[in-house]
Parts: sequence; C-alpha cells; structure tokens
Amino acid sequence: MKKVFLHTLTIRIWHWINALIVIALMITGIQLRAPGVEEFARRMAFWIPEYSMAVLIHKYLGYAMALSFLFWVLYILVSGSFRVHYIPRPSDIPILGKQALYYLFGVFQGSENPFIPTAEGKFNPLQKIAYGSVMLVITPLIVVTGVLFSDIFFFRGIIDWLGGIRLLDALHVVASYLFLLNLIVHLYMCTMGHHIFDHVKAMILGFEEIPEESPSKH
Amino acid sequence: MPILVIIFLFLSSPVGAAVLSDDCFNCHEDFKKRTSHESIACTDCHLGIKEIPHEEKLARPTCNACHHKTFERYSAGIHKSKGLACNQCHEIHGKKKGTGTDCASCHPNVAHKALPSRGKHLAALNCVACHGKLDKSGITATVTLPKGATLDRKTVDRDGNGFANPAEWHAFEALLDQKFKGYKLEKQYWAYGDNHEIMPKAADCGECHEKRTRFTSAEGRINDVTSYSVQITPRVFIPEFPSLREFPKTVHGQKGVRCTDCHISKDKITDKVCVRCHEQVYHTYEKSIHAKKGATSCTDCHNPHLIKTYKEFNAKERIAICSRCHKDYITRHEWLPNTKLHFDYLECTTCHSPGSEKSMVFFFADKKNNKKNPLQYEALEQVFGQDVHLKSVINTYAENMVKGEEIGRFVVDLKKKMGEGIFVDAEIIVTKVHHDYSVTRLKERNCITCHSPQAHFYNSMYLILPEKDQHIYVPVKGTLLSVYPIGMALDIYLLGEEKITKDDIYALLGKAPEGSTAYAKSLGFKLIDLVGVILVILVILSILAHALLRILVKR
Repeated sequence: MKKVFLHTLTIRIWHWINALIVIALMITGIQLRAPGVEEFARRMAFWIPEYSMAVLIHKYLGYAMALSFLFWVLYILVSGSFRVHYIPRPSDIPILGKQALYYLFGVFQGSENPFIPTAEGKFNPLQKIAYGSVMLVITPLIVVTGVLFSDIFFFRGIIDWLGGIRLLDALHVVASYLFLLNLIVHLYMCTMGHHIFDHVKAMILGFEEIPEESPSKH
Repeated sequence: MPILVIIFLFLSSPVGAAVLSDDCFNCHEDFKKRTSHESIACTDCHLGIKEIPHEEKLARPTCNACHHKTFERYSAGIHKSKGLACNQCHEIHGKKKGTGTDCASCHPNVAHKALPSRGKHLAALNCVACHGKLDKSGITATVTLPKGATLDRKTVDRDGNGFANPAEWHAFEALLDQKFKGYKLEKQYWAYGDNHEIMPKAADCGECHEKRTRFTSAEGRINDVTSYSVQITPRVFIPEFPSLREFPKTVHGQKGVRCTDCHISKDKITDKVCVRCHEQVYHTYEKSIHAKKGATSCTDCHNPHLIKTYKEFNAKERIAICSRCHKDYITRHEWLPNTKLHFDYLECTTCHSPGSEKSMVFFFADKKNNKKNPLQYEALEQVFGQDVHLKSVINTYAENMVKGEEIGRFVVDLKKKMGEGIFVDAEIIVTKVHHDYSVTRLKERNCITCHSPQAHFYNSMYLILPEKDQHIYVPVKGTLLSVYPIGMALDIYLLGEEKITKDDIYALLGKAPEGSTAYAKSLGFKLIDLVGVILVILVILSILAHALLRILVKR
C-alpha cells in the first residue's frame, strides 16, 4: 500500500463546510419549491423548519454559498489546482471510454480501475466533466440567480434584461435539479474506492491508501 | 478749603441725618438676621421714620418703587385682581433669598378636570405654559444614541432643507426603533414666563394645537459621537386640533354628527361612545385579540376628526396606523423575501384579517425624483378643467365598469398632458373591512397564496379615482394583465404557479380530458419539476441497481 496525498487541508475544510451548506440549501430549497413537503415530513416525524424559517435559512445560507464558491474559485486558481486537476488533456480521451466501461461493467467483473489518482492529477476524465460542470457552470448559475433574487427591485434592470423573474426562477430551479442529480451520483461514487469508505477517509485525512499491486491480484 | 466744603456737604446730607438700621435692631432684633433685602436699609421701604422712637402707625411699605417691572406684570395678572399682596407669596425678610413660593403651595393637587388628556399635559408642562403670559417657549427633543452609534444629519432631515417635517421625523423614529435598540428620546416642553403675570383664564387649546402661538418652535438634538440640532415642525409633537371649520368635511361631520354627540363629558372618548352607533363592528372587534388584550380602544387606530376616509388611505398610510404600535413589522417579516418591496404594495390587513375583502386597486401616480406620489384631484382639475368627473373621461361607454384598455388609453393621454412620470400604480388592499385582526402566525405562509391567478383579489379589481370631495372605486373589467401589461405584473401574478401540484400529476396519469401529452405541453415551466423529479428517480433507481450488483458480486 502506498499513501497518495490528494486533498489539502484547506480543500478538506472547505469541502465539509460547503457540504453542510449545500445539504441545508437543498432541504430548504425543496421545501420552498414544494411547501407540501413540510406536512409530509412532520407526519414522518422528521424535523423540518417552518416555511418562514426555511425562507430565511435559504436566503442567508445562499449568501454563505456565494462566499464559499468565491473562496473555492480563488483557491483553485491561486493554488494552481485548477490547472493541474480540472483542465482536460489529450491523454484523457483514451481513458474516457475505459473509465465508463469500468463503472458499467468492469467493476462487477473485478477488473482494475483504469485510473489511479495521484497528486499530479486526482480526477479521471469523467470526474473532470462532472466536477467541472458542477463547479464551473451549475453552481455559478445558482449563485448568480440566487443573488439576483435577494433584492428584485435593486436588480430589476438585470432581471428584466434576462427575461423576468419567472425565467430567473426557472434557471435557478433547473440548475438546482442538475446539482441534485450530480450530488446523488457524487454520494454514491464516493463508495467506489478500494474499500467502501476510502474516498471519504481521503477527504478527511487528505491521503488515500492505494495498493501498489494491481487490485485483481489482491 | 475744598476739603472742608466736602466734609460739610457730607455731614449735611439726608443719609447722614436718617435713622440707621442698627438703631432699628435695638428694638426689632430679629430682623438683624434677615436674609433677603439685607443690603438695603429698613427705612428704604418703611418710609416716614424720621426719628426713634417712631410713630406707631406707619404707611404700608410698597414694593413697586423698586420692582416696578414685576409690579406691572403682576398688576395685569389675576393675583392682583384677587387682592393678593406681595408678602402673601414672598417672605420679604425671608430666610431664603428672593424666592416666591411655588404655585402648588397655594394650589395643591389641582384636578384639571376640564383638561383633555390630563395626564399627558400635566406630566409635560409647567403651570405657566398654560396659565402665564409666555416670554419664551419651545420643544426640545433629545435623542441619545447608544454608545458609539452615529447618525448622519440626512437621516433626520432627508430633503436637506434644515427642517424636519412630520413625515421625516416619523421615519426617523421608526429607524431608531429598528436599528438603534437602547436609544433614548426625551421630549421637553419648556416654557418661560413671569409667574407674576398669571392670566385670569388658562390659554385655550387652540393656542398650542391650532393657531400655534405657544410652543412655536421645536428642535431635535441628536447626541451621537458628535452632537447636532435640527429644527422640527412643532406639529410633530403637538398634534393638530380638529377645528370647527374642518369638522363638517369629516365623515362624521358629513353625516351630521355633532361635537356633543360624542363628547358627552370632558373625559377621553371611550369605546362606549363609539359603540352606540358602530354596534355591529364593535361586536366583531370585541372578540379579537386587540380588544381582549385591552391594548387598543377604537380611537387608538381611528381618528374621528380626520377628513380623509379609510378608503382614501393608500397601503403606506394604512401601515402607518398599525406601525404606531407594531413598530418592528419589518424585522418580524424578515422571512418574507424582499420584505420592503412587499410592504410597498400591501397593507397589514391584506394578510392579518382573513375576514376582510381584499382587492387589487389601481391608481394614477406620478414618479418624480424616484418618489411615487398618487395624483390628487387638484392636479387633475388643472388639466381637465373644473369639476371634472374622471370616470366619464375614462369610461367612454358610461358603463359601471372600466376596461383595462380604457385605463391604458387614458394613461397614454395623461402622459402627454402631465409628463412622462405618470403611470398606473397598483396595491392589494382591504376594500371591505372585517374587524377581526386576530390572525397572527398565518399557516398559509406560502407564496402561492398570493402569487397565482387563484388568489381571489385578482377577481376583485378597482380603479381608484380622486373626485372633488372623495375617492371613488370603479370596478375594473378584465384580467390583471389587461390592466397592468408590464413584465413585473406577469411575473408576480404567475410566479407561484410555476410549481407542479398533485392535481397536475393526477391529470398526467391519464385523467386529463385532453390526453396526457397535450396536458404536459400545457404545463410550461412546471415541466421543470416533472422532468427533474423523473430524472432524480431514474438516477436513484440506477444507483440502487448498481449497488445491488456490487453487493451480489461482492465488489
């Protein structure tokens, strides 16, 4: 086994704080979109904030999310992490298909993961596409539309130019569904390490233990 | 030689010849210790003493030889005419120097039964404020902000004219309540006059409340890190008194109510007076939280002397009534997205009085320097001529209702005549009042309650037109969008409708008469939810399948 250092302390702290923000925003967001959920949750004995409280939580955590996102952008740009981990490279193209085949079939047959994360590149091409689209397209879209919602009179010029509140609302919600889909897949894929909790451990401790020999012989 | 002349003159002067006070003290020993008038001789007041022993009967000393100015004022006042002498208030040889006794020593606990709002008046004013001729009077409102807080002069005097009018001052007080917890506001009604000139009759109410010959100026002192003063209209602190001239214009006056119908005694009007006519309304109100908590009587919200009727108040003015007590209404509604924006278009009872009838109302307004002002009759009269009935100008078919197109056409015309700032403004207000305001924590805190075509006030729309003496409400025919064809209205109207509902789903599952596909196409933005939820379910199912397979092959 060898230890591969993947996540800096800053990124690990950011990840978990951001995770809490996202989960709270998701729950309150669903509640705002479908107020009936509140009644349903109560019946299932889940604690869920009141509608009015949900509006407030969603608003202020929304600001927190905007800050969190800004921090992330600055961090990956300044630390060089963006250049190293996020930009697709020509060498990614042949792995792309293999990676997809591995997730769909290979994993059940016990074949080895075609991609081994290293400090010089922690994302496989599929991850680059997924994380890239979430962090560089979907999140900014949610954050910007959300901020515009915070004072529709102040931003009225921009909102009208964009096509009105309904369109703004639609963009915010479409982006949120895409985010949710990615989140569900993300939560599942984090169990796909060598051992079920390896990836989670890595996000806590920073490094991942990767077998030196090929996993099939293991 | 000249020295001898001076000595001679000195010895022959009357001072030298008169009786010395020390000689008086040989008999009147007590007066040696006198504490007032101690610098003058006994014979300066007790005239006619040429030698000792003096005659038994002497003339009464008079004060006016020295105190002639005071005496003049005293002569004009009631104390002189009642035969009160100086020494009845002043101790001439007194222990204390120069003090007259205060009013209460002769007039203790004056009931002031005839004085309306007795407590307020007596707490704030001294005796001369009403009973004396005033030399100087005014109001000083001192605002002390919490330590370290600062407030710009412009927050008090918004238009920068050096004068805070009632609107500016009330806005300032609201701001203090909201943002500067722990601030202090002390009002001082100071009045300086001469206690000697007490008038036979107290000043009448109108001197302060109508003609304003007393307390003619008011000053606000704001003590923050620095300290500065702003002049304030005294009307802010001393309310306008309803004058007989204006009363016939009020609703009560128009209906023939006379002063004495309500003012049966000099006491403050209580609910018992109102209930004699407004019985039904009062019984509704009686059962509400307001009445039960005993916090509010009719006159706390309603001013029976007001010329404007409730109908003529716009949303902002209606909120102003409630916010006199519920000052924290903005912070309490922070949950409401875009709180302030909502309160520009709603009044409190739009939500808090479920029994009331609410309507969408439209009115013409002028936008100048980013301030919206509803058009008044006087302005319209200048354009359309005297005694114009706007309804007949707008409504060419002379029906009972106006149509959206008619309003639109009229606004275009009005813009040409009165400038580009003219527009149609809208509010959602109560048009038929129900007096139960008990509903506080609304269960329907849900955007769709208002932001959907199902909200009932979209079916009850009125155009408010200012007429000569009143506002009239003309019913509007058509849909909101035909009256108010701007993007914002469309957005607000339909915003809550973008969400898919249970009924939509049932309809899609084959119960829609026009077929599922056609129904799905008609859903518009609601399709986002439909597609979104289906995708989420599909993804979860595939993940479950993937996980199951992994468990089966033990990977």
